[in-house]
Amino acid sequence: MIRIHKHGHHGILIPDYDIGLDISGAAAKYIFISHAHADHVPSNRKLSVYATPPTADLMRVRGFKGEIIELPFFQTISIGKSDVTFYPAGHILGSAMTYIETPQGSILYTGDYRFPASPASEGFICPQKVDYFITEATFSLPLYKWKSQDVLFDQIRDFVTEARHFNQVPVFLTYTLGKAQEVMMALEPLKIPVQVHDGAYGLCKIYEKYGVNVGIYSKIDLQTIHESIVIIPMSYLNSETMLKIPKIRTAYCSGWSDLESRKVYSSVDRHLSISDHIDFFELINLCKKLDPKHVFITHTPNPEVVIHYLAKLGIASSPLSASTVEYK
Amino acid sequence: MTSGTIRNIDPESFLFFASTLEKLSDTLRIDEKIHILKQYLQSSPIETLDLKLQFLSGEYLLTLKGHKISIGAQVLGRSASEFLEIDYDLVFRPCRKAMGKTPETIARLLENIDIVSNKTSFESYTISQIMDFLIDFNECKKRSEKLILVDKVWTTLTPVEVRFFLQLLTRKLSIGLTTEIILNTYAITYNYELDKLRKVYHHSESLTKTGLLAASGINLDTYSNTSSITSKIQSVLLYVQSESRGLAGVYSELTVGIRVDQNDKFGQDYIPIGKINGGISSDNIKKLNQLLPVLTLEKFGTTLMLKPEIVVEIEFEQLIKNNRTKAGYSIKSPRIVSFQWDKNPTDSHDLEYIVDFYQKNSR
Repeated sequence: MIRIHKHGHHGILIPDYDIGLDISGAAAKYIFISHAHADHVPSNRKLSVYATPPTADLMRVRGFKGEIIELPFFQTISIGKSDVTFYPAGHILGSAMTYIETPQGSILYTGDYRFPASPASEGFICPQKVDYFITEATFSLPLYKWKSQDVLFDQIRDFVTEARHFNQVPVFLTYTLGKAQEVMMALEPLKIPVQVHDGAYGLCKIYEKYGVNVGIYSKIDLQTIHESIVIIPMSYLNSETMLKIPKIRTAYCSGWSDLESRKVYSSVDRHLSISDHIDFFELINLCKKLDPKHVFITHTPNPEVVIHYLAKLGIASSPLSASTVEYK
Repeated sequence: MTSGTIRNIDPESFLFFASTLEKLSDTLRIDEKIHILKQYLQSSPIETLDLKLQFLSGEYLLTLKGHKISIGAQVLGRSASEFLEIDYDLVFRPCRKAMGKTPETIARLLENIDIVSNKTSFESYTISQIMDFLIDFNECKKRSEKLILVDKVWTTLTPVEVRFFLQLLTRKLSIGLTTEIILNTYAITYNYELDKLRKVYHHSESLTKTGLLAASGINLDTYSNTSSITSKIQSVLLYVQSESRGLAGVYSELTVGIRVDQNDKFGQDYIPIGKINGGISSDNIKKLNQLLPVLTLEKFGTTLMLKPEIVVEIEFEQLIKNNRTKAGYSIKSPRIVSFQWDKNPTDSHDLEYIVDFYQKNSR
């Protein structure tokens, strides 16, 4: 019998092994952080946690003050009766799936992940044998099927050409960590200087430290912005600085931008469906390939759809419950 | 890019039309919509323009019995689910909820689900064949017959065609084209003064007829030199309304008012005179949206009540008596001429001016 349950908003607890995954409090002795996005990093910034070296660097830049024990990919650490190994998750730099081998079977927690992997990550590699698969399912509807990287990168570069054709400054609206750097990689062959939001600047330095070529970039500078490409988070679009640039053309980069309902609400010029999460079809394929004893679905408003598709494949699954549930 | 992907498609085909509509719906910029529409109109000979303009303006509905086709979103959803071999309740409905609209949901699922490729055999429909298709739906009374037609939609149309065919089927096109945008496009494409086209439209009450006249290249003076008087007043912005629900909605429907500060009867300084839908430049929308947090007095759903501070010059075709309004008058076909950002609301016209205007111009 293995016990796995949700803890807090995003965390997961495996109490029998005293393991917490992306949890925020001190409910477990051993806490593993999948990646450095704010919703997966403890809000209690003085905890002691395990993370991959790039994630550790990114967390420190973003203000995490606690102890981070660096655990590189594929190195196994023994904790009590379990062995824990990080596998590359393909989501952002340093993002890891946590593989836990216990006497009751193996558990793989994906954190946020993407397959095919983001080029601005260490790739996606999955362990061969998984008994209990805890998967995020952010894009858990057959509406979501991402275009190939080549197509998306062409769309990113085409958008720049389009903006320049209209004498507008191309502005990409992205998260500062992960998506911004992926867009920068797509833009790199254009050899046009990129200006990034302050929040992304320090993070780009970490990407470079780990060998990711994000091209020529600097912080936002109004003096030279007209010759540049701008990458900022959506929240910065109506800032005083941005309002000083009269002619801009905006592209919103998100998996959600695929939705007509989102398009209505937004006043951006272009919607680019670039996501750093796995799409619905790849998620189902991966479950089929791993064929685990049980799939736990988390981080989704629509677990029922995934459960329905997995049931057709004969794979047992359930949403991860907040209360303690035991599984054979 | 705004061009390229549809270059090799027959301009007379519905696929070309649907691809143009997709581009129109992908941009919010009025100048770009006009450019895309202009390119489309230029690619069309006048002989086949009629139906295209009817579709664009929504006037095709006038030729249908009862001016509508009766088919529910649920019927479409269920039929599409069956075709896609997905569960309606477990899969389609959550997709529809996330996507927000039935035509777009079905089109996306048709694009994504592999099973479809074995069951489809795309026909290259012309625009007039699509109209025939719509008439078939319109004349069809039995549900079972409608379902056979719906099935033909899934099997013979590409996803982008399905999206816009379903829009035509269930309502008029939803691509952000206003009367003003269409008239502006005519003016630019066929080299006419916008005012002349507005007058032709005002008298013909048909965007299709106006477009056909413009495309024919004839002298429009005989159609536009009539008693219609275009008049301007300085009004004050009183309410703005978002076209869509949601916090980030763009406020593009404006209620403008006139000054009544000298008249105790109203107990307020400004009262509404008319409502203007769209036709605002993106620069003005941007500036207006920036000022809204400071100007908003109260919020009712998607409507904001504003401090009467922004002066807007508007023009209209006719001033009519209307006892259902506070002012007792309302304006017909109002449009924005300009935002007078530097003017004081006390510079706006008052009710007395409106009454005088009516007396001078009414026949």
